Amino acid sequence: MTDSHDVPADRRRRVLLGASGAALALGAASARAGGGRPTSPLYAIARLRYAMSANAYLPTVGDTYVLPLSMLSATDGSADSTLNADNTITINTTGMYRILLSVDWIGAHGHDSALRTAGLRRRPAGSQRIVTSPGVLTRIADTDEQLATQDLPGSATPPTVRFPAPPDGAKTVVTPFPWTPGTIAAFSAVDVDVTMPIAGVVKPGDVALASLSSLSTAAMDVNALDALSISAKVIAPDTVRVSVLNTSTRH
Amino acid sequence: MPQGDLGVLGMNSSLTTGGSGEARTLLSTVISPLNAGDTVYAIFSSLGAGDFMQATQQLYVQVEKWTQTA
Repeated sequence: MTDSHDVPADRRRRVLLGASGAALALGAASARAGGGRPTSPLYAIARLRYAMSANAYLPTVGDTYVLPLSMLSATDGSADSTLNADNTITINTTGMYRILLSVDWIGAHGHDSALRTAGLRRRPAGSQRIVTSPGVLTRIADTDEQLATQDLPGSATPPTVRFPAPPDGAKTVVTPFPWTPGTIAAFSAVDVDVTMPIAGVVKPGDVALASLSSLSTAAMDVNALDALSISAKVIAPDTVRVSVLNTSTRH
Repeated sequence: MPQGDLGVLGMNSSLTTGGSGEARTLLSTVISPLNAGDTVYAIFSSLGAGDFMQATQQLYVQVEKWTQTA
């Protein structure tokens, strides 16, 4: 079944709903255009939707694979394309086409962050077919025409908290927190405890790092700079102790 | 030791954030000519080891043929 023929194209850009099996949700599409767009071209749209029957695990990192489409999931009776055993789709009728790709993968699986790519490719009629092996994802060089591509960062990073924190997010300026450790005797340390501005992020056992801008060649001589060591540790929920240790053997 | 600006970064060593279980995206081509005999297909890749695509109702390729009628 194709959509009715009397609705301007921009009103017809619907996608199929996520119907199960072969059920369609094309809608009646019977609304007639108003008087605002009398010259818009009118289109009939025939749709076929293909899907996967099992999760597809990427066997290698950084290589491009053909998405293993394996079944027809929705149709309005069109015969304009056919799913092949190599997971590609053959266009049967010359014409104007729009192709949609919807992907669904866990935000980041087993890693903190990584680049992902999904896309649609075209191989012209008469070209060599893609060589496949049954039951194995097909790795390709990705040299065919790129109809559409999307690079997506995956993310599953550790929660972090900064002190001082920007008051209203990344585009605001942090108000500095000045600290003067003062005189530190040899083999001694000076501490300051800091309450982190976002509760619930760190607790004992978590990681903390600290910096102090006066630990610099502009502020002290190189011997003093070499002798001083700054460290941080989470000593209680939301509390970090920062220590500057004087490791010098000389005063 | 003179005054300086103190900065602290805390990082949780066991929890993660941003790890959506449903990172769904819809990608569309423009409407363009295809010839009989052309093949189209979807590709995917990742720099994360063990990554996988989920076989759900949100995973599909939809081929639409647009025919101008008027």
